[in-house]
Order: sequence, then C-alpha cells, then structure tokens
Amino acid sequence: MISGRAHALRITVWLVVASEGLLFAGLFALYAGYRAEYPRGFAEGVGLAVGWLGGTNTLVLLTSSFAMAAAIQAGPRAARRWLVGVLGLGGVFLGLKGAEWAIHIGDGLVPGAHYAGPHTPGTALFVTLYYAMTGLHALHLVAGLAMVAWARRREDPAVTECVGIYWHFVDLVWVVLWPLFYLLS
Amino acid sequence: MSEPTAPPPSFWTEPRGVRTWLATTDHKRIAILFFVGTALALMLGGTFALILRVELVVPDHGIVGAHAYDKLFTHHGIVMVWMFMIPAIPGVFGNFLVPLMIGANELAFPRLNRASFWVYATGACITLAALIGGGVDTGWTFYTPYSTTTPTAVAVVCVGVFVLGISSVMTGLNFIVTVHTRRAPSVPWMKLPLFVWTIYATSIILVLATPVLGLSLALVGADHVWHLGLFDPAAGGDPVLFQHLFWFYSHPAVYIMVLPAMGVVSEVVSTFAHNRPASYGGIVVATIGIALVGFFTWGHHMFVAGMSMFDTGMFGALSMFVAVFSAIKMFAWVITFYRGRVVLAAPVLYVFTFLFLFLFGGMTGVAVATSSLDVHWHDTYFIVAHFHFIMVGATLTAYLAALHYWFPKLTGRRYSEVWARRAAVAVALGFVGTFLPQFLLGNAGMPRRYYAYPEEWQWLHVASTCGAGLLALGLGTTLVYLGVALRRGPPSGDDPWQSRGFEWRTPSPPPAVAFSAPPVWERDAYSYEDEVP
Ligand code: HEM
Ligand SMILES: [Cu+2]
Repeated sequence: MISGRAHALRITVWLVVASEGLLFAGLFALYAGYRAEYPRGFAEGVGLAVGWLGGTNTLVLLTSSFAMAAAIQAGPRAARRWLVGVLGLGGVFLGLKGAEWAIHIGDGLVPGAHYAGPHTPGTALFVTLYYAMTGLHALHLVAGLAMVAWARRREDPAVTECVGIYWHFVDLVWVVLWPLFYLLS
Repeated sequence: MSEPTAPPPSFWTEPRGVRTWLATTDHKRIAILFFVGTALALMLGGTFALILRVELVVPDHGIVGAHAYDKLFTHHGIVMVWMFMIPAIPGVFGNFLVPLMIGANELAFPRLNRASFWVYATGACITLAALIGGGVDTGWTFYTPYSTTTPTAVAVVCVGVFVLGISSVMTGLNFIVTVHTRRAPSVPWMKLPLFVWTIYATSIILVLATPVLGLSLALVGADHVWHLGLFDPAAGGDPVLFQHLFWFYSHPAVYIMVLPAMGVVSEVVSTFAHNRPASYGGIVVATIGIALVGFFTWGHHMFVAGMSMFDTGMFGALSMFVAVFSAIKMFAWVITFYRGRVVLAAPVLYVFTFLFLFLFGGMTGVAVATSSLDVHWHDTYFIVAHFHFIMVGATLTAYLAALHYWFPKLTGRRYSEVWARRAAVAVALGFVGTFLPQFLLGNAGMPRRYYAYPEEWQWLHVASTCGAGLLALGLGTTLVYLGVALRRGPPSGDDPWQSRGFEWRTPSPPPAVAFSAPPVWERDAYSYEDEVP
C-alpha cells in the first residue's frame, strides 16, 4: 500500500514538528519570562547582535525554503537540482552562523563563568539564551540537511514533501528567533 | 527461551537463537524485552525504597547517613518514574497488544520500535552509571539552584534521563502512526478496544510533553557543567521558571502513567464482568479529556512557590476538572461490574485495589488542589502518600492486573490462581499499609525527604515500613509463581477467560506472524450480549 506509507510519513513529520515545536516553545517561554523581568538587559543584548549577519541569514533561509517548495512542485528529476540548492543555502547559513559565534566569542560574550560582556542585569542571561536557542536551531538545521540529502537520494515525492515540511518548520523557527535576537532592541 | 514441552511454534521460538532476540523487530518480542527491562527497574527501585524504609524505623541515624539517604530517594524516584512506570504498560502491553487488537502484524515502524528499546536500555545504563560516580542527591525533581550547584553527578543523570525521553518519544510516535494507518478494515475508530485508546492518548502526551522534559534536563545539565546561572538567583536567574518547565512535563507525565493503567482496567473489568463497558463513548471522551486537560494543570505543584491569585485559582480549578473525567470512568467501571456476572480472579482483585487507591488518591488530589489546604500539606508526607496512592498504586496494580490477565496470552500457560490471589491480597494490604500512615504523618507536619524525625512519629514510620515489607513479599511471591508457570504452567488454551477481546482471537501465544490476512471480525471486542441474562 503505497498511499498507506505516504500517509504514515505525513503523520510522522507533523508529529515530529509538533514535538520539536514544544521543545522550542519551552525556550521561548524562558525568553519571555526573562525579558519581562529584565527589559533593559535584553534590549542591550539585542544591541550586541551583528545585525547584517542575522539579516543575511534570514534571507538565505527564506530562499532555501523557496527552493524547497520548488523541489516539491518539480518532477523527481528536477527536484534533485533544487535540493542541491537547499543543501548549499543551508551550508551557507551554518557558515555565517559559525562566523557570528566566533565574533561574539572573540568579544568575550561567552555564557557562564567567563562572561565578559556588559553587566546590565539580564544581559548575561540574554547571551546564554542566545547560544542555547540559536545553537538548538543550528542542530535542527544540521538534522534537516541530513534529511534533505536523504530525500535527494530517495527521489520519492512523498519523502521530499515530508522533508520539506520539516525544513519549513526549521525556517519558521528562525523567523521567530530573528526578531527576538536581532530586531527588538 | 527454551520450551520444555514443544507446543506449536510461536513467536517465542520462531526464529530461534539469542541473536534473533537481540535484533528483533517483532513487536511481541520487543514487548518481552521491555518486560525484562522494566521488571529489573522495579526490583532496583524497590530495593532502594526498602533501604529508605528501614532507615526510617528509627528517628535518627539508622543504617544509612543523611547524605546517602538523599541519594537513595533520588535514585528511587528516577528509576521508578523513568525506567519503570513510564515505559512499563506502553512498552510491554502496548507493544504486545496494540497490533493484535487492531488486526495488524506489526507497528508502523518496526525498526523504530527496536531502536526505542535499545535507546531505553542505553538511557537506563547511563542513568545507573551515575551511581558509580557516587549518585545524585537532588530528588527526582531536579529543583534549581540546588541541582545546578551540588557537586554530585547531576549531568550524567540528565543525559541518561534525556536519552530515556528520546525512547519515550519514539514509542509514542510509533503508536500514534500505527493506530492511524494499521487498523484492519473491521476495526474502525469507534470499535478500537479501550486499551488502544488509552495508549493512543498517552502517546500524544509522550510526543508533546517529553521534549519539554528534555529541554529542562539539558539546561540543568549544561548549567551544572558550565555554571550558566540560568536558574540561579545569584546570577539573575529565576528558579521558579525551572519549576514551570519541569512540571509542564511532569504533570502530564503522571497521566502517561495512569492512562494506560485505566486502559488495562477497562479491559479487565469488561472481561471478568462478561459485560460490555457501561459507556464506551464516555470512557473514550474521558481518556482524551484527561490527556488534554492534563496539559493545563501543572501550576498546582507551585502554589507556594509564588504565583498570582488568578493563576492559583485557575490551576486549582483545572486540576479538579481532571477529577470529573476520572469520575466518568469510575462510574462506568462500577456499573459494568454491577450489571455483569463478575468472575473473581487475580486480575479482578488487582482491579479492586486499583479502584480503591484511585478513588482515595483522587480525592486527596482534589484536596491538595485546593490552594488554601495545600499550604499546609505541600512538601509533606501527605503529598508523598497522595502520589504514591494514585500514580504508583494505580500503575502498579494495573501492571500486575495486566500481567495476570494477559499472562496466558503471552505464554500460553496458566499460573497458580491460589498463589496469585494470596499475592494480590498481600500487595493490596502492603500498599495501603505503607502509605496510609504517610497521610497521617504528612498531616501531622512531617516534611518529605528527611531521614530523621521527632520520636512521637516513630510508630507511624514503623507501621509504614511493615507495610512495605508485606508489599515486597507479595511482589517477590509473584515473581516466583510466575517464573514457575512460565516453565511448567499447564496449557491455558487460546482464550482461558472466555473474553471477546480482539487480542484473544489469535492463538496464545501468537505465532511470529499473527495474521495471514487482515482479520474479519464481525462482533466487536465487547460483545457479551448473548451471555448476559
Ligand atoms: C483529581 C486529580 C488530581 C488532582 C486534583 C491532583 C492534585 C495534585 C496537587 C495539587 C499536587 C501538588 C501538591 C503539592 O506539591 O503541594 C499533586 C502532586 C502530585 N500528584 Fe496529583 N492530583 C491528581 C491526580 C494525580 C494523578 C492521577 C497522579 C498520577 C498518576 C498524580 C500524581 C502526582 C504527583 C507525582 C505529585 C507530586 C510530585 C512531587 O512533588 O514529587 N496526581 N497532585
Ligand atoms: Cu500535577
């Protein structure tokens, strides 16, 4: 039963999205709680962000989601090429993210005992959450890349569609992270 | 696993060899593996508990010191919650029965199922490895900032329980997809056996709540290693936020444990009353209702941790709402018994114990959900007694009811009914004997998690320890006569209880492949109409 398999895959991916969604929701709740407690410290933390890197990365991920959607629309052969695009853009995102982390670490913005950033109450918590949330997101992106590579090999429209749903989810999480860590100062 | 009198080939012997067991993707064999794992966990957790109880016989230093005592109750809780109670009924009976009850030969993802067992085993080993490193002294709740600053092996346990959580999510996901996609045509949704409904509802909680546990543990573990101060007031953190995260998982987790127990009870009640459940629809609605409302009651663990009046009222009222759904089930079970022809047997004795503990424990739940009363009882033995009655009592008695009810299904053999009844009585009296004195202790003001206490409470502690001894005796006896029955029990036949349940319509024990074609079942799983006068 081919349709049974596709049905099973589709339920699975939505369950995974729901489960991961709650994982991030826990962190968003922490962010909200601490931001309410330390509005100034958090605003100052956002000021430390490397704005153009965050913006570029947002564009990169949105473009990758577009390529993903195109892969799902295209036939199995053309999908392979679009998926290469997704893989490439995902790689670029991780590279930029890594560069950004390196800059922050160079500036002494490390979580924990060696934190050497501003001492406004709450800013250190902001930095910890920044690493936790963007780090967790990056891990999901790595998992997403593995799935995309798998979908590319399988050439199965149902698989591509389900991997696409996951990819859009990872993208969506970033679209929420972006204002929280780069814009709302 | 050798069978002395070669019975017809079954999943036990087909295919042969230890290797085939370790690599198995057969849901029935995975169920047996989970049984071995959870039974070992029960024994280990039980041993810790007995040491605790013996220590408490004297008001001051007895057999272990204060710090060892802290570690013992911590590991007791961790082992019992995550290695026994959460995986016990879904892992063993869910795995074995859900496919048989929906007319399928396997779960939707057999290899994911195999992985879920081995991930469970890995998580259990990591968690226990912390014992080698001296153990952990935080309590199973890992409250910050103590958990992030204690020098004990917190990070190891966090990793271990995190891995156990991954196994939970895998199991839950597999069950949900299975129920959606693997039902035989003659099992539409509203003909699903009630046990399957509870496993389905539990799986939803497993998939949605467990990630938040994983997150809390990851943060505590990382904080412990890197001193992030995320929940440490000294660094600007807020310990109450940790409590919110922890209970957002851990309250629904109590329904992970109790819903499958309710499913077992529904099946046993119907079979031994030879009667259709009084309200199938009502029980289904109550099952889903408990799963959903359970996500919005976590705040009742934090009434005294600092919370607005509004939140206190909301969380209190929502908690009590759970009692409404539970009551629907209670009434349905009692009416099913009342209108049926009850056959007394060991599983029914366990169900009676379940009903008593669940009723009593549920009423104390409503009492502690009343915030003004909870100020008095919070963090005392009253809470310990409440959750042991309802969570442990219900899960343990249902697990034992399931083990006895489905023992012939799993093995094709019968156990000694006389010994089973004796053990059931010992477990019931032992359990109540252990925890009834703890209600009194808590009400008198004895705080939980202390190894010393004023002398005037000694008699209650001694009574509790005697109860625990009787409980252990009952469980030990069970192990012996079931072990004997596994080897030498007389053949049970395919359906020894004359049940109409779907799972009994295959041979007992089932062959490796239970159905050669999707079964056609004309009568549903509770069709006793022709019997009831
Ligand atoms: C009518 C339904 C129930 C209500 C209203 C209720 C209410 C409560 C409340 C208010 C507390 C917190 C008391 C405190 O810490 O001061 C509590 C603790 C607890 N309850 Fe219940 N409960 C109910 C049913 C259950 C069930 C069905 C289970 C498990 C199957 C359960 C397991 C627990 C556990 C594990 C704790 C305490 C955990 C800890 O602090 O270590 N409860 N309950
Ligand atoms: Cu609760």
